[in-house]
Amino acid sequence: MVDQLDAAKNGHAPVSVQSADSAAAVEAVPAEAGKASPSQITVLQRVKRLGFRAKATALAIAIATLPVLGIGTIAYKLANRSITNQIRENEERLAQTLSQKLASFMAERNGDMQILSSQPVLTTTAVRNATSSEERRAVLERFVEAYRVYDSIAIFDLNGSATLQSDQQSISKQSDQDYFRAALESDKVLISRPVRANSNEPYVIYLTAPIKESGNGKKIAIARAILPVRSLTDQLRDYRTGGAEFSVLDAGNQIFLSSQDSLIGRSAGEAYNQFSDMQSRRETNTRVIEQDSQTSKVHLFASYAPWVGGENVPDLGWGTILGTPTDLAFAPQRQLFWTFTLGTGAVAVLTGLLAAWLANRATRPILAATNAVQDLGAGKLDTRLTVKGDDELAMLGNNINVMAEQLQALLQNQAQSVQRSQFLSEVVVKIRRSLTFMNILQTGVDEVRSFLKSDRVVVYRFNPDYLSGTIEAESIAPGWTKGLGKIIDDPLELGAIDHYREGRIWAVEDVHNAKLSQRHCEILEGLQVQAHIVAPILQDKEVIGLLCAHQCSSTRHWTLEETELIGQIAIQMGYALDQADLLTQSQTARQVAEQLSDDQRQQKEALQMQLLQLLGEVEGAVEGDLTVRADVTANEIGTVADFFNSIVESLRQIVTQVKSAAVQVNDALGNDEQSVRQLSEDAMQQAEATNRTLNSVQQMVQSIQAVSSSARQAADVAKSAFSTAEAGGVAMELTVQNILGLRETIGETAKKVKRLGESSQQISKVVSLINQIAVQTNLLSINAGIEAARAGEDSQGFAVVAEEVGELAARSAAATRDIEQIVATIQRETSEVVEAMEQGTTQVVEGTRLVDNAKLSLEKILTVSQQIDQLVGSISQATVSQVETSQAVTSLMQNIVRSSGRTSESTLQVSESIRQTVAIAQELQNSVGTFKVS
Amino acid sequence: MGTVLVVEDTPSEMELLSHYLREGGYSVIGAVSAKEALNKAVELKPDVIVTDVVMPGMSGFELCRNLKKNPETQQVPIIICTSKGQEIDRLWGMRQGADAYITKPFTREKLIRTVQSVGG
Repeated sequence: MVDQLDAAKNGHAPVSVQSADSAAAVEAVPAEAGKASPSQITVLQRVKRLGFRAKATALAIAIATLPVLGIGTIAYKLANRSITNQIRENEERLAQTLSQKLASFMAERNGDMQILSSQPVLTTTAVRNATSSEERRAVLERFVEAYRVYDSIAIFDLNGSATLQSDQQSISKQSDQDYFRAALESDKVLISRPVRANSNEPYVIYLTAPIKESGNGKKIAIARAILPVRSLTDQLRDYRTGGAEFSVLDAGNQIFLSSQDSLIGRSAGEAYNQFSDMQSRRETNTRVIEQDSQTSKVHLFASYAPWVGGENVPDLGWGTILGTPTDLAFAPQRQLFWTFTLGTGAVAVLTGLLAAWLANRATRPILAATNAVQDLGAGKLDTRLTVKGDDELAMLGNNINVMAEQLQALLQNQAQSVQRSQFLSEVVVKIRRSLTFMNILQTGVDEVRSFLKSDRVVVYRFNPDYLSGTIEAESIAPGWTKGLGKIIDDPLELGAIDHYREGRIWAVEDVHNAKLSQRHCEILEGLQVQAHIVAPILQDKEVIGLLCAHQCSSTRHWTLEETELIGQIAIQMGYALDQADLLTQSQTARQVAEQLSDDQRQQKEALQMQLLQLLGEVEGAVEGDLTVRADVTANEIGTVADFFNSIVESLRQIVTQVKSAAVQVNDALGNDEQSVRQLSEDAMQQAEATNRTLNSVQQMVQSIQAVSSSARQAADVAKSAFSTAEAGGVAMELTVQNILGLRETIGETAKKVKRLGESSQQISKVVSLINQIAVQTNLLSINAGIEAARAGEDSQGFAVVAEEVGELAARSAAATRDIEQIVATIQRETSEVVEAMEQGTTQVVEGTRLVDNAKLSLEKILTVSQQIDQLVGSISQATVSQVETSQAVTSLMQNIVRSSGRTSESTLQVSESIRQTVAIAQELQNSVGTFKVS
Repeated sequence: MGTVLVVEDTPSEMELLSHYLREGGYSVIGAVSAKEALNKAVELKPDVIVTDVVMPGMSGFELCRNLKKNPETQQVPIIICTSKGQEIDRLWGMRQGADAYITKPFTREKLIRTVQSVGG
């Protein structure tokens, strides 16, 4: 039911699907829904919700119209393609002819210029001279008029000045014009780019040709013709008919000629989108482009044709664009489209209508059948279909009608069976309510008779040997022979018991026509039985009797329901009998159990009495009286009493032992306490003694440390003495060195003093020499004086000089004497010095010896001080090791002190524990004392 | 043949036991209480002791315990002969030192066989 509700929610009508199938369908749909998007779900649901008729109609229309539409579409596509190609080819052809026309026109102009430039009037000097300028101008004028395409023709000399012209207009000097310069350099006809003076002027093209002197071929002048673009326009007028648009571009892609005046002068790239794509193909090609003529934009189906060229014309690079507005170009195509659309649509609508009508006609019987089935489903079982014809649909209708009839019959049967089962359950309740054997049987027969409306119903109970039996219960309609209590001697055949045991029911419609044993027939006749039905009653899986319904008034057809019912009631009677049996059994069991519990209660009470007695006997043990004894009696408790006795005995023994042990413990503890106390005191004394020793050791350590420091000081002193002695030694060495140096110095000095003495002797020799000189000088001066005197007055000056010299000699002699004295003094003092020196040397030698002695003494001092140092070092080491040893001794002693302290503490603790133990032992003694053992 | 000390407070039972044992060839010493039995066991050194359980004063179980405690009587086999026939009684009796346990009523053969089996 839930499934169906879910299905309804999801939009699937649970039409006639069985629950399992619908569950599957419901499961499948959410799975799909999970994948699809919400809009798809709704479309899908809507499609599924559509009725059969709508679906069939839609399908028929689809089948009828889709091929028509498909074929129409394909045909249109093909036709369209060929038309498009045709239009395209047409356009391209037009563009090419336009381009060709331009090329041939320009070729003609090329020829014109060649003819002009070769006119004898211009080329031959003789002819030129023979004609007047007016005549020559007339030639040019004729030329212009003959061709009707040129504006003017002029002849220029090589400097660019006009020498001849077809009209009267003044022409400025052309030498700096581009086209003119190109013409000067060229030998051929030249066609310039289309140019214009300004944007308002029309475009013109300059054609130039060189004029050569006949005979020598020398270039003498330039002929120039002005070709207005208008002349080209005139040539192309035909192309404008039919709505075509065209533009001609020069080599620079500038439009100089166009059917649209507004495009003239603009760049082709601006005027036509996609132009660059088209041009880059370098061949004629066609596509839809947009023409932007500034005032309006038009879509064109346009072709681009590049310059076709020719033999008589140079490559001008002119391009041509020719296009038709798309609405004009594609007008045939549109016509085709509408023709196809309308034709196909009309056919599709017609076929669709036809298909819908057919589908509607075909589905009508099915819809009728569906409605009928719906009505049946809603419970209207009277619904029937009107069946026409002979086809499958008619069969379906017939089948639905048959089904409806069967459903009605089934419902009736069901109602009857419900009624029967109600009756059966009522009967069962009644039977089960009767709890005794006879009641059950009586209720059974009464109920069966009231249901079957038969004349008699009995229960026939077999005797254990199955050879005979008794009618134990009977329900009978008034007026028929009673059979209750009758003993019937009708031995059962062997196989029959097995049949009955399997629950087989035996129905006889007419006893006279049934094949029955004679004995049985007689019995039945005795009871006026015409028809009967027999069902076995089984108690505890054994056949104990038969439930028999008799019809005495007439023969009777027993229906299947009646047969089944009597079978059911017989079975239920069997169950009720089993139940009654069980009830009896359980009642007996209860009585037995009650008896048993009575006995048990009495036993319990006796046991309790015995227990109370036992408790009374052993109660004293609770108070500590262990002399109690329970009587060992013959009853159950007797042995238990002895358990107590045994326990109390053991307790008695234990208590006795504990008592004596407690006393012993007390005594022993008293002794122990004394010993321990003694031990503790001893330990304390030991600790004190050790402490004292420790103090002594510490003092000793201090002394040793003092010795050590003294030794260290002595070592320092010895070391300083040593170093001093060493320094002394060095000083001595230096002294010796100095003394030796002194001796040498003295020696040297002595030598020098001696040399001084010798020098002074030489001085005295020199002095004596000087003295002799002074003497002789004096003599000379005197001689001189004499001579002077002899010489007269005139030699007076000379006499003065001689006097002077004499004086000098005298003074020299005096000085010499002084020197002699000084030298003598020097010599004397020198000898004294030498003497002193010698004495000094002797003293120095003596000093050296003394110093050596002192050095030896110092060395001895060094040795000694080294020895002292070593000794003191060893003393120091010894004291250090002594200190260490005494420290070890100290720590050992401290350990001893500590351990004796601990010993003392432990002994105190032990003592305390012993005291506590004594207390506990006394408590124990007191506790045990409460037990009475003898 | 050996000596059997019979401990029994009921004279008729005592008579029956003594009769059976004497027939079986044993010489019998009687004791009407457990106390008396203890003394006689020490004095007379019987080969087997047969005792009742339910007796005024000391019970047969206690007698067993006391006999087993005393080194002099420790080795003497004990047979308990009683009307207490439950399994717990038998178990307790054997625990108290009995070598065999006979429940009353008994036959002569059973008694003799039991006495023989414990070594009498």
